Amino acid sequence: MQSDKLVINAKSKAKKPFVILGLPDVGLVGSIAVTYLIEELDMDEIGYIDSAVFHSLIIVQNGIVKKPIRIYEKDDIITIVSDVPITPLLSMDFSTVLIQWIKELDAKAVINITGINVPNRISIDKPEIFVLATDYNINNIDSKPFNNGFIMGTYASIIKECINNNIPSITLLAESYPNFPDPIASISALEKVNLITNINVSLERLDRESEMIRLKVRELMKHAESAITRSKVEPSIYG
Amino acid sequence: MSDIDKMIREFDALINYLTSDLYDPDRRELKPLTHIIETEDEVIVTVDLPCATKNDIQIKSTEDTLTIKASLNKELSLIEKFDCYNKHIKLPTRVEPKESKAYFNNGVLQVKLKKKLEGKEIRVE
Repeated sequence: MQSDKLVINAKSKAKKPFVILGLPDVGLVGSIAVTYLIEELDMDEIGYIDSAVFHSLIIVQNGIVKKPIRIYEKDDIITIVSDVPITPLLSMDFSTVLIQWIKELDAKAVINITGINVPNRISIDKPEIFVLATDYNINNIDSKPFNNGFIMGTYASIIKECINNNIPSITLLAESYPNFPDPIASISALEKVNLITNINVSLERLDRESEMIRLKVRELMKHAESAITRSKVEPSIYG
Repeated sequence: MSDIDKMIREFDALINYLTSDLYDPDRRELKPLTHIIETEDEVIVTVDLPCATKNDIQIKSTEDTLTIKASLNKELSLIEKFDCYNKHIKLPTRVEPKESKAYFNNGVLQVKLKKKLEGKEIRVE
């Protein structure tokens, strides 16, 4: 499937999968969470999303050249992780093409993982999760509903496309630092992913390695921070 | 300019947002991620210091600068090329260094600096 600007090249064998997105934005909560899932579940790379916009970028992992946005699969879980911020001009095209691909998979739900800036984050040892669900029952995950506020940027486009295409979506917003990588917020989000999907991933290693992860992803955080600052796309909650 | 040209330019700008301010290999120093906000009476500087410990942090402030140094815990960091964090920050307004407070939790340092009252009140006679 392709548009003028963006191409998805991936083949999935999953049946009614959960599709979990981790894009680099507030606190890198989604990026860290989904990267951890890929490692911990030993997921298979099944494809990529590419664009002419990424003409000047490759990612090298252990000597292997990778596309900046990659798709992974294990059983009935699909994850999508990006090593580049999705810029505002790309976000609509990204969402449209991605959700059309997800629609063909007959996905059970799309799970978006992101952060929400809280000014007193330094005093919070256990970040809370706010949940925005569309067409999906979240009674079993014991979280605060995201009742009032706004979400801008790529996740907003994805939620709208999910609604337009009758695909259930669950957006997990973890209390986090806006400009610092926040693996502890990712742990809170993954606890909810465990409850939603029943994958029961151990989060012990993420907790143990959280400080090292924060050191390793500083560069991606700078890129994401630049994108957030330029486009003012971080979510905000009222009240 | 077409949409694709705009997107390529936007993406290149992101890529060109170099990360040179995160490292100083010659001095074996890491430059920590930093966030500064101003309230009505304070400048609040938050600094990300993973793999640092509270006892190894040195903070110095003048009226318009803040310097933060911290050793890296080698057992945690496994980073052989760097020894410490070092960041010199130009503050957005003048502060009272003696009335500053610092708090460290889970590898994040927050320094609250009281703004210096500028000007002198003039009584109406």
